[in-house]
Amino acid sequence: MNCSDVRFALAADPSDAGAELAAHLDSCATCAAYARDMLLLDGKLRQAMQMPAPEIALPGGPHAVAPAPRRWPGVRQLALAASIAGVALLVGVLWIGVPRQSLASAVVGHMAHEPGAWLRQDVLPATAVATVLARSRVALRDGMPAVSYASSCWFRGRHVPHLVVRMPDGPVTVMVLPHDEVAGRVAFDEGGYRGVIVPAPRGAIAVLAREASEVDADAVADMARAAISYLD
Amino acid sequence: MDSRRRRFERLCEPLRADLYRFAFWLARDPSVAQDIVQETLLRAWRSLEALTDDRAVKPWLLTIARREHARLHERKRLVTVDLDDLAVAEDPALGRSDDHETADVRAAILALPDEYREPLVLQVLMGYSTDEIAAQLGLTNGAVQTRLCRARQRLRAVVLGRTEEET
Repeated sequence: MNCSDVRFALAADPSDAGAELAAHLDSCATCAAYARDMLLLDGKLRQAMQMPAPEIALPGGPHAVAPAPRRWPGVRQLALAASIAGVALLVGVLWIGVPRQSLASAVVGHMAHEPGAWLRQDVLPATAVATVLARSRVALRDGMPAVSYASSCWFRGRHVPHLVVRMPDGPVTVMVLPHDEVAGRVAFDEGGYRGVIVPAPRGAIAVLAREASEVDADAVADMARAAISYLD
Repeated sequence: MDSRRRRFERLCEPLRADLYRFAFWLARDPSVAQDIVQETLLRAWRSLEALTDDRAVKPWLLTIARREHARLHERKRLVTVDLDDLAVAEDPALGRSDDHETADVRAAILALPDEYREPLVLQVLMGYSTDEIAAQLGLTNGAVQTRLCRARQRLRAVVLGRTEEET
């Protein structure tokens, strides 16, 4: 692969981790910088694309109604619509500062901040992982597979541990969320990620895998719940 | 609640937000996106039995949404959004961005030609591989890669301020 091929491949899919491409990046600083640019760009794109979605009722329920047929409005309807739009804009402006993102969306959105986390291959020493976890008063017992990434991340107003664990089927992200409660298991599939958020002895634990991954998120969540202890 | 409705909710509920986002990036208009999602969910509900493999629900819904977008376009000759008129800061769907940079990135994505924006959204937002995008859009894998490459080259220049020559 020459530089042109590598840059084409990176721009077509920055998460491409083929051996030939990786070997080129190890030996070419310019293409390695290009790869970092593309990962940075994709993080920004993912964050930008994850705008809040309005509540849209599912059809078929007792309160669901089929969309009314559209027709061209008259002057009176336009005036009414303009008034409503004015009120809606005012409400929208007041709404700006109010956080409404669901926990699952927030977790998925957080992935955009650290797009390179998935790519780490080296296993971190246990002491490095312990140092990160200790910031959130959390520790790891034996029983978790190798951790290739550990960071104490600012998430919903607090520092929380963000780990990437190497499973046989691929990497999986584990976020320990001692301050976020969930009533029961929450499965999600959005933004190119699928995963679960499960109740933990303190707060919750979120597990995410890339959508195409074969990783069993529930099994990892069980493993994490058993392996994580709380220091006070 | 009957089993048909439970199945529909189990399959569609988790995808509703992403379906709206996909429709928005396709139509570049929040109200049209809501129309597309409503119509998509309604059609999906009516033809739920046609979905024989639950694992295929996502491409199934996206296909319906794409068709609905095309149908709206054809029937209504939708007014194309002029980017100069698209007041990003005043749009409730866009204006709640975390910062100005995010708004700028959104504007840059909206400015991409449709044929570049759609595969990019499928890859970045929906997590599709280039093979899956090719199948969804009826293109060859090579054509998809070329479009994604050109989309990112443009966005790299706009968002990161770097040109290919600077690489």
